[in-house]
Amino acid sequence: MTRADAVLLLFCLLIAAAFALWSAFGRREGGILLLSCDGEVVDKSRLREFDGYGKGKAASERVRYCLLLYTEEDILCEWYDSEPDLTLTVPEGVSYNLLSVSSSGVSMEAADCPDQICVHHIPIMREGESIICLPHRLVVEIKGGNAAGRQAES
Amino acid sequence: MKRTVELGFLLALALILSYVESLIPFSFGIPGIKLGLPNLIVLLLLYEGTWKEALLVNGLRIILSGFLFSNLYTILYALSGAVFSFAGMYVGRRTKRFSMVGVSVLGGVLHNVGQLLVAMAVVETLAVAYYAPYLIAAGTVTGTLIGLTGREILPYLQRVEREGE
Repeated sequence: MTRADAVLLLFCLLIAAAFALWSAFGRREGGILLLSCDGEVVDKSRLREFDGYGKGKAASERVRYCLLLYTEEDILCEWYDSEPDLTLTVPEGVSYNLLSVSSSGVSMEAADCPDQICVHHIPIMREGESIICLPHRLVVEIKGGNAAGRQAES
Repeated sequence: MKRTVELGFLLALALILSYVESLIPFSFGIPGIKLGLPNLIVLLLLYEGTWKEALLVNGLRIILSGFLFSNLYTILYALSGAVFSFAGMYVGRRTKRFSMVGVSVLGGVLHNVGQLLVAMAVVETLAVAYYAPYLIAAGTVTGTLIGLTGREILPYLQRVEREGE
């Protein structure tokens, strides 16, 4: 190990720590779930409306599901109160992402993308966090603020 | 001719390391975090061969392992990380200020940062920026491990090459 090595190691760890601190202080529990594809908004929902969202295991175990279908013309977004049967709801040749919103946060339940990175992602819950499905160019993002939530509603 | 055989051996080794890495479930739920085992070969070639040989083996390794273990999309994504990583390691090696550990850390961190930037461009969002601390920290740790391993292996590789002459 040379001196330059030590400086580099310290520099990288400091940058990482600074970034982590900055985002930890700036982040609260999110208010809005924003789904976008290619930079265009597909769906916007207020997380308040979901029972027990982000309240931990003790809260209600109700889970809501959101199925995204990528048809040739458009992206369809459908909400379900119970897990939809993908063999019935997904037409042949159409790719999909299935999201769930529950007490442990928002997570990707299933997708037919080749890398499955989005499916293995840990659940997201706080403002600024996101799950990205690169093959489908889908961004699932949690935005903060209740004021912004009302704006979205109107 | 002899050099071609040696590079072929190293390429095969890099492919095996790619395969081994794909078997290890090392993800933590944060996309992009991986050990970077194949980078060990690139690192060794930067010290034991020329930068052109290192670049050649790295490029072929990504394309071949992509077709063997994943798909075209993953190849493009891996190449984007490799461009940043290789540039960092090449510059780090040239300055002669870093040991193998420092060069490997540069490679690991830049690989992750590069992929993050490409991901931002592809999905047109800044939302992924919150991954940055995890990815930089992970790149530093895995880079250090690969660098330490490379430092132990390099003398053996050099001895094998000398004895072959």
